[in-house]
Amino acid sequence: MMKPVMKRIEFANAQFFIIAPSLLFWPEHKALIVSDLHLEKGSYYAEKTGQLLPPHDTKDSLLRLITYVSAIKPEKLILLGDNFHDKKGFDRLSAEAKKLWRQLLSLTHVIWVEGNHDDGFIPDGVEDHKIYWLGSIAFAHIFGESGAEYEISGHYHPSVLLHYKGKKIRGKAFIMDQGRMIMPSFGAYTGGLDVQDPAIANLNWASNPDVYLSTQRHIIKI
Amino acid sequence: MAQKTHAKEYRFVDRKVPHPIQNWMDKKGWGFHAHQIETAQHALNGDDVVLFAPTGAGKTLAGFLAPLIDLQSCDNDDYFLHTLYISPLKALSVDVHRNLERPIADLKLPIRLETRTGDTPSSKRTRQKNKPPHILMTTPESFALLLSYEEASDYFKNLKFIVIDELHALMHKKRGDLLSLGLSRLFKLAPNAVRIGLSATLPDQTLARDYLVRPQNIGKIVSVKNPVKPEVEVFEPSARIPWSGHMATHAIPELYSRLVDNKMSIVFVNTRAQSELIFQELWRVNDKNLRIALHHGSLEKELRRAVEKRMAEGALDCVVATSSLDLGLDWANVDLVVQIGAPKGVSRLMQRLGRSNHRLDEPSKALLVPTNRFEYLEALAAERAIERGELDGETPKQGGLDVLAQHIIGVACSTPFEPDDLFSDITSAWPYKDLPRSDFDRVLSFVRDGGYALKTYERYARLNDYGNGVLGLSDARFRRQYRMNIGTIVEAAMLKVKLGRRTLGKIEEYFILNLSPGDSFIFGGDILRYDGIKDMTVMVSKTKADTPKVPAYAGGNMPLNTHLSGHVRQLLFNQSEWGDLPKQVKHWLDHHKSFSVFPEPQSILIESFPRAGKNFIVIYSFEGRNANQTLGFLLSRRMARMGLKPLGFVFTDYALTLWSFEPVEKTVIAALMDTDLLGQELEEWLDDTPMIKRLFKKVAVISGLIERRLPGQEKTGKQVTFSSDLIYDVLKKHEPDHILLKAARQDSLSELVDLKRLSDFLHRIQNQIVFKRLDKVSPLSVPMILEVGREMLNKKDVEAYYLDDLEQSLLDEVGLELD
Repeated sequence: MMKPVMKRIEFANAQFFIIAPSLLFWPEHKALIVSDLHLEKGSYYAEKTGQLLPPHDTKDSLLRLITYVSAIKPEKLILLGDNFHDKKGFDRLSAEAKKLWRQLLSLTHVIWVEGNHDDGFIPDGVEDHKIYWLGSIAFAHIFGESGAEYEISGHYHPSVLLHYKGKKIRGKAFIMDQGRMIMPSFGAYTGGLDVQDPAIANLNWASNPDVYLSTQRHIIKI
Repeated sequence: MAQKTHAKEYRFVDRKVPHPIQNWMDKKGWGFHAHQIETAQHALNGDDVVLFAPTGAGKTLAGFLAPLIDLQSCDNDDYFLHTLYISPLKALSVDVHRNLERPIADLKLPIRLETRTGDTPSSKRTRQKNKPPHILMTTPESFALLLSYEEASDYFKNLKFIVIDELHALMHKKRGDLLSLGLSRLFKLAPNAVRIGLSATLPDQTLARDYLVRPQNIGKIVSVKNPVKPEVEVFEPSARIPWSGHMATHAIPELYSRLVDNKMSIVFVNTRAQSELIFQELWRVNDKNLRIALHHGSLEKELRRAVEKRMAEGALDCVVATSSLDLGLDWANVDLVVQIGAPKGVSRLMQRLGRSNHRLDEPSKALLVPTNRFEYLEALAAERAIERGELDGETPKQGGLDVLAQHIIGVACSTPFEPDDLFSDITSAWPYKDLPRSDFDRVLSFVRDGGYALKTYERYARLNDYGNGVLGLSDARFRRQYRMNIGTIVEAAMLKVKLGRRTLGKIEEYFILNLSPGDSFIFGGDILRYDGIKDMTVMVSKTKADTPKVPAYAGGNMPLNTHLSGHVRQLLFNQSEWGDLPKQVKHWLDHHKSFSVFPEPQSILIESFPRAGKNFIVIYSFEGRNANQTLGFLLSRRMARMGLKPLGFVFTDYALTLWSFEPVEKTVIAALMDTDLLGQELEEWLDDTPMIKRLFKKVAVISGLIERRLPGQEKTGKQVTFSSDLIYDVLKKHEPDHILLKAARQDSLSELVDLKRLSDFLHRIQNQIVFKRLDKVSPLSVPMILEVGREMLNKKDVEAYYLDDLEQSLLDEVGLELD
């Protein structure tokens, strides 16, 4: 694996690393955090709408995640919700994908934070939480859900467009104020919602939030 | 069918047609043209026929004469479809309907005539389905829809004639693929239905005939020459001709006075952005209060229809238009056609000029207004070609695999099928005559269950095995889905633009994403303030801002074609012809000769010179923007490999300029321009260019992999459609051999890369390169270096100052004066 691009940030009086393009690492607790895997989104569409998208999305997402976990060797991996695209997603896993899922569980301790898409589903072998606390930080799927002073969430799949020397760079976005952070999505078939969209911009931010653009190659504070 | 305005030059015949319409014509004092009778005769004999004729030669009547005569002998009380008319434009269907209805109504003929397009209300569609009219006017998309009905075989079984209008505008495009496949299917249902094609004059008429005819039918050709050549004038301004850019502001005052002198003019431009600007500029000088309107594809349909109606009524003095006004409608009173910017091709120009060709015995008047110096060369070359009566055609291309996928689903919607049968039907359609069986099988497998190596989707398969190898639709929902997604036109994501409660039209989403509230832009001729996005609608208000932005619309900018490019090279070489160029342009070329050379037409000039600490090479290929762009990407890679440290490139239709740290010397030029550029460099580039994703998106929509984004489907903050980019990435990584990637690749080679042209070019110039190592910029390269300046500008800089300054210093450097 290529050495991943990382950037150190301070959030909630703690040190974190953004790992490009969409992971967060908290060294103090050796915790790796990813959000919105939306596993089996492809097969969900096949079943619900008849759109036969390439059935490789779960494999792609899990393989990438396993690569990071193998390299970083975190003590725990926090899946921040919408881990599967729907509650029957797990049953649709191909044999190959199931193997990858088991491999992931064997590599680290997995904390399963429930998202709206998970809809109550919890697989075997994970530690499940609606809201997970680590130190003074609450990990919840949706912004504001924990009511805590310090919170990290997902759900919105934030992305951002940067104009740079006449070029446009669109990438995933980490957006945060002093107390709350929204992480971008990790799943292969997850799109992005611009941070300027009212759904994100009009959230109850304490101050004008900071935005980090994160692509495969760069992490840039905007 | 406005026969009265036709030129007398088309030979009239006194032959009587055994039909009441003859009396009607007599009463009006009109006669039939020879080509109308001839076309009808062939069709009545059961022969497919293509009529090639200029606008205004009575093509429509020629196409309908056989059906009208034949209908007389039918029992007209029956509800059955006798004749199908297909045109690429809804508006044209409506127009032809109106023209045909007149004699039918006057003569009280018992013929029912109806139009069916995407706009037809569903109640009327149902009635048309149950009680078909005798003559149905429709589009390729609605035709495909009709074929997908389960009752299609019943519906079409009595069909006698298919009239295909504006055939030239459909051939060698994806819409033509769709039509051809539809016709191949129709042949199964109504093998005796005669095909009548109506086309503008084309250089290769046999090809067009072969494209149209049924299997085993030889097909006839009827051809009408334009009796009067158009009078083409290349505009010579008194102001200074710009070195680069496309805005024609230098010509506005004189252009305006021409508009004043003519009763009704159409000003054609090449892009929507140009149309907005020219429209603004004309109104700025409109002190005579001419009625000037704007017509382009992004404007709301009602606004466009209103403009067309006012044109037809003679209630306008001028319309500024893009290709949205290119095709077939009969505008009676156009005196002058203006083409602003490069003509790009001779046939394209002729068709545009034909818009004014409706006056008895008079040639149509046309004015070409080049917007920069290089375009003068192109305009003059085009004028010469028209003078000589030459035309150019489109390059034939293989049928799209995505369209094929759509067709197969359509067939399945109508009836179960055997793959072997279907394959043989499909290969009878011209664009698919060379389709390998293996490609067909892979497309079929895609239609069935996605065609993925992992068979995980078998349980969601769209097609079931009905036994004995017969395949049929597995679920009725796929029928609905197919009907929602029919067609081959995929637009970029568009947002509605609303001023208060009034919808003005649609605009590319990506343009809006780059605006901040308070910014202004030009749309539909108004300067609008962007207020924000609400419910996926762009809210605007009127403003008087000084520096509005112009939406940069995707696409629409076609390349200079091969044929005209050859003429331009010829013109540059033949100095005896330079006398017909404006003095300023001639002076520029003369001056260049003292610096460098103009090589023979089959050779190519490449110049290399230092400027401002960088090294430039300029390749004067004249091969069109697509081929030049590709060449730029490939050469950048190769120069990097050679250690020349390339920094960037710019391209136009005419030339390509690259700049680098290290100079390009004569010793490396042959290796640089070798034909093997199309090997490794091309593969590498195709592998990582994001441009191919745009084409993949179209392929994904047309093939039915993802659904079309339909109006009203969008909801704020919620993703309803799938990003095709994500699918592309996953597919490329995990299943690089998938048939849809092949489809996108095929499209990119023909559209984006212009591979055939690039390959022909590279082969042509081997050992034909005239390389000039100069110590400073040459006069011919000035426009290209200005393009470089434009490219390197940060958009927020004061563009005008910078470019003026750059222009002045460049002219000083080459010793040209500001004239």
